[in-house]
Amino acid sequence: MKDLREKIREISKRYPDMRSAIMPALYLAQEKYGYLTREAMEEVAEILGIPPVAVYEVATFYTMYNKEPVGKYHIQVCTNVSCMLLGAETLVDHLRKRLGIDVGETTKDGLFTLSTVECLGSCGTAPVMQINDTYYEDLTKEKVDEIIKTLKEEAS
Amino acid sequence: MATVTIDGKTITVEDGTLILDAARSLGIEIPTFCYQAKLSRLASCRLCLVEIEGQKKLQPSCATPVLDGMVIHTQSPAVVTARRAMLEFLLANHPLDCPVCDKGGECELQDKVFAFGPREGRFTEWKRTFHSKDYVLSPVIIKNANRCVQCQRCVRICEEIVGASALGSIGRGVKTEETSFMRAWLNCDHCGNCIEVCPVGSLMSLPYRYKARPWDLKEVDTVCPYCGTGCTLTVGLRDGQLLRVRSRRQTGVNEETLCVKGRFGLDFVVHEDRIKRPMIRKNDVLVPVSWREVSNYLKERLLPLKGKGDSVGGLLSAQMTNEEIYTFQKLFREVFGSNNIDSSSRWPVASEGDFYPALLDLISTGIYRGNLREFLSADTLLVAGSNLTDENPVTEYAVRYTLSVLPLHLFILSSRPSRLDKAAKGVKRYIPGREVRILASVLKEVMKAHEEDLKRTFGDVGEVIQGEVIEDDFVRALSSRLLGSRRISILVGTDLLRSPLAVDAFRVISNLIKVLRAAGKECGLQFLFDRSNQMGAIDMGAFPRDGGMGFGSLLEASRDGRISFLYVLGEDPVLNYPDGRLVREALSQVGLLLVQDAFMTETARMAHVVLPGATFAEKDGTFTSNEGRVQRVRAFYNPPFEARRDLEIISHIASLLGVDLETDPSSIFAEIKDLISPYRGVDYEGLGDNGLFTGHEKGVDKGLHPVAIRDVALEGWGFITGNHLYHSGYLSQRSRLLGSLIDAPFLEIGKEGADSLGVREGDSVKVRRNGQSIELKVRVKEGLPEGLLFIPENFGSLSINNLMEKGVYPFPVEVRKNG
Ligand code: SF4
Ligand code: SF4
Ligand code: SF4
Ligand code: FES
Ligand code: FES
Repeated sequence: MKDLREKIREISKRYPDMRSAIMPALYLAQEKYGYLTREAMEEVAEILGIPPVAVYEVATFYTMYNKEPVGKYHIQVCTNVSCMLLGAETLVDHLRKRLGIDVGETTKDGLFTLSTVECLGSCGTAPVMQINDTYYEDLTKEKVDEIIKTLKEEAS
Repeated sequence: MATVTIDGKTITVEDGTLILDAARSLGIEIPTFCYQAKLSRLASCRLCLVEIEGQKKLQPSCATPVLDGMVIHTQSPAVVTARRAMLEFLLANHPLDCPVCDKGGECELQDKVFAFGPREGRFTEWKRTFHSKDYVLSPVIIKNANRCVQCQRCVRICEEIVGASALGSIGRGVKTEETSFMRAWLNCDHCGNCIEVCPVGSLMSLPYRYKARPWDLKEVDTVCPYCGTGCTLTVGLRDGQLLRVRSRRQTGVNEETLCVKGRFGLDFVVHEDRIKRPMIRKNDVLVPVSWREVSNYLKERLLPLKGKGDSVGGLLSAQMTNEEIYTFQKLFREVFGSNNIDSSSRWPVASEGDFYPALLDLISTGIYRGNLREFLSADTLLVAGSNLTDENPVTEYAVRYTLSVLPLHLFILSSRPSRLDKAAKGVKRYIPGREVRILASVLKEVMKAHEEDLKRTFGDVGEVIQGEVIEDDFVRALSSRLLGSRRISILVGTDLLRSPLAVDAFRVISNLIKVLRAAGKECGLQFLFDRSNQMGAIDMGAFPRDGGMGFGSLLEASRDGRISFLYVLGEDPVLNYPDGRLVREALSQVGLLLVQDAFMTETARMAHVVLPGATFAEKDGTFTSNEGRVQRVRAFYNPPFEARRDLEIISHIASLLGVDLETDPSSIFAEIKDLISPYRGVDYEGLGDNGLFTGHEKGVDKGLHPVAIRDVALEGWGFITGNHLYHSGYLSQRSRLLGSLIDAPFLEIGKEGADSLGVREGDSVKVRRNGQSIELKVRVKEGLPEGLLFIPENFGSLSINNLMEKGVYPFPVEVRKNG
């Protein structure tokens, strides 16, 4: 497996300005470390040759970057208008009960973190949630239960 | 051109002019927040909205250029309402803690709300709070994020002008916070420019915190005593005590910026090292005496020396005012009949007899006396022999700014890497002494391309350059760029003055300027002196001439017992002259060593007589900056204890010898104006906020000087020295604040060098020469050429000049890892 430095170097070649490479580089760092630690952000800055604060700006602007550790499965439920109208809030409540955690928390076994996010750009299939890199669409409570069950099995 | 109507008044302006600027030139004031001249446009605060007829939405005047025929309103009901609404938004989350805020009384938010409303807020929800206690970001900055209006001026100035990129906009939306990486302690330049531009009390000066209210301050405008960039400063005093320094908008070369030395380094003035009373050496101990006693003593000792010419000499600091330097010289030339005068922060390695004539020739050939910003508006800029970032920070800001707005091509020829390298089209590192070959190679290329022009101007020039030239990317890129440029500016740094082959380097540059001019181009140079009045000292003639001895020769003569009186004014050669041991040996042989200084220096400790002089804070007069700009130094303190102003002391000494010398700076300046041609057009009384520029002497063009290329050999390690951002010698050494930023000297070494020695950042190394050795901590600096080390100069604690030797540079040393 290529190391982070190599991967970031390679990706950065696509951009004329190293600052444009911050986002993909942060994804790679997040993939490697699970979330963006101080050291991870400093490393990205060093590799791209830009000031650490510039990396920090981007990392704190977007919700896709985790500044805290997250569970194995990071559930991000969209609560923006379209999803809200089609019951996103009920789904969030359901998930809270089902997982026994509040929004922003992680289950004790470290499997699930629950977050709410703004529009995931898939309003046509609302309500929507994203778990790690996968979208789950046209959700109902039953579907959610099914998904959680599958993931639990996958994990054990 | 575009003609627009603003509030019923019509004006014609250049295309692309901002509505804001057009309005300002009509005297119409539009309030702004995020707008700051010289920074990139953000247009986020919407305070500057105006109404343009035919456009439905209001437009930000700070980012909207005029179009021909536009009719604009800045006071219409829609504008007034919108403005009030924008302010109401800003206030919604503002803590309104003006009574305890340092900014209260000079806060742009206060002023704007007062002028444009609203009188009442309607926001009743919870206010956003980032923290309950202000947090410290650096030894000079304390932050209150709750008061921030997100204008990002701090972020932009730090990145675009200072180049430190230490601040950012963290987070998003209403939770945006302008702060450092993870709110951590800043490892930045500590220049405080972010504090200066912050419109509210969000970034505040830590040393000034809770010290005064703006209306309690008495402000005095003066000039920075540190480097030759010559920034104007406004000092704020309360109850006669210096509390803060700020810069003023659109004033001076610095235009609202300063570096850390100017803004925070003036506390040296009250250092406990101040000499309180005159002293005479009795039984080998310096004993405080009265002015009367010291006067009697000096009179007796000096009278026999009157008119004694060769056996007396004077050395003075290039941080003295023009009037002091001029008067000091007059004392020597007219009263003692001696031409043995010198002033320098850069002791030439080359022989004095060749150095000064070559330097003066370079000045009269090439110097551009005029506004730095105009000087930089060229096609190509060559910085030769300077780490601009460390030596003349505000000049560096001006270069960085120019690069962002004009298609200026920057080339850097310097031994030390600097932050500006990244912005350059070409960078070349060299070992001092080898710059001659590089510059000569460029000269040769340019001459080749302009043979015809040269013949026309100079006739048959013959072989101007003897020796082998080099062809590398830098030489090729710079030469072809010079050939393609119409206007070329050269900044000559102090490293070139110290080069062992300085004379050749000056000649090559002088030739280059002449050749480029013969080719029909505009070309000039400015120096990057690191002493506030080095330019003035040269203009005043404070160097050996008419057969006089320079300081190097004076030392040799002293060692041989030929000097009966040496007068040292504000200099500390024991600490900073290369070869500290020679200085000690020589000074101990001087018949009468008189040291006049504000501080108890190492040299003063060797003196027979010590006189307590003044700092820049206690005197009136003028400095001439690197731009050739004459500016007023204004006293804001009285000399403490029994210290006196240096002018008074110099003329007091003359009076002991029965000669009357003027002590009033303006009368002395009138004399200078009469006698020294560049000063002819400069009036002491006319030196307003921006000073006045000296004029050009009519240079006599003596054609091209042949130069034989030689090189300097460096085997093993050699170290060079120079200024650090926080430390430039004698004055900075006595600033508590600067001292807290850099407490000990260090050794910079390149990456490869560090590897070969097996040392890493922070390790301790031993540097040895001639049985002397010092221990230093390592800093790894990428980009230093092989074999070259850097140690910041003039650290009292270390006397690195004991490792130096007269006549060589870089100084060869042995280095090894400690332990
Ligand atoms: S003090 Fe200077 S370098 Fe540091 S953050 Fe402020 S502007 Fe930037
Ligand atoms: S700290 Fe000051 S300068 Fe920086 S964004 Fe906030 S208000 Fe503007
Ligand atoms: S750049 Fe030079 S003159 Fe300006 S503030 Fe800094 S030390 Fe003073
Ligand atoms: S609102 Fe949920 S995907 Fe757009
Ligand atoms: S000053 Fe124009 S938008 Fe802020």
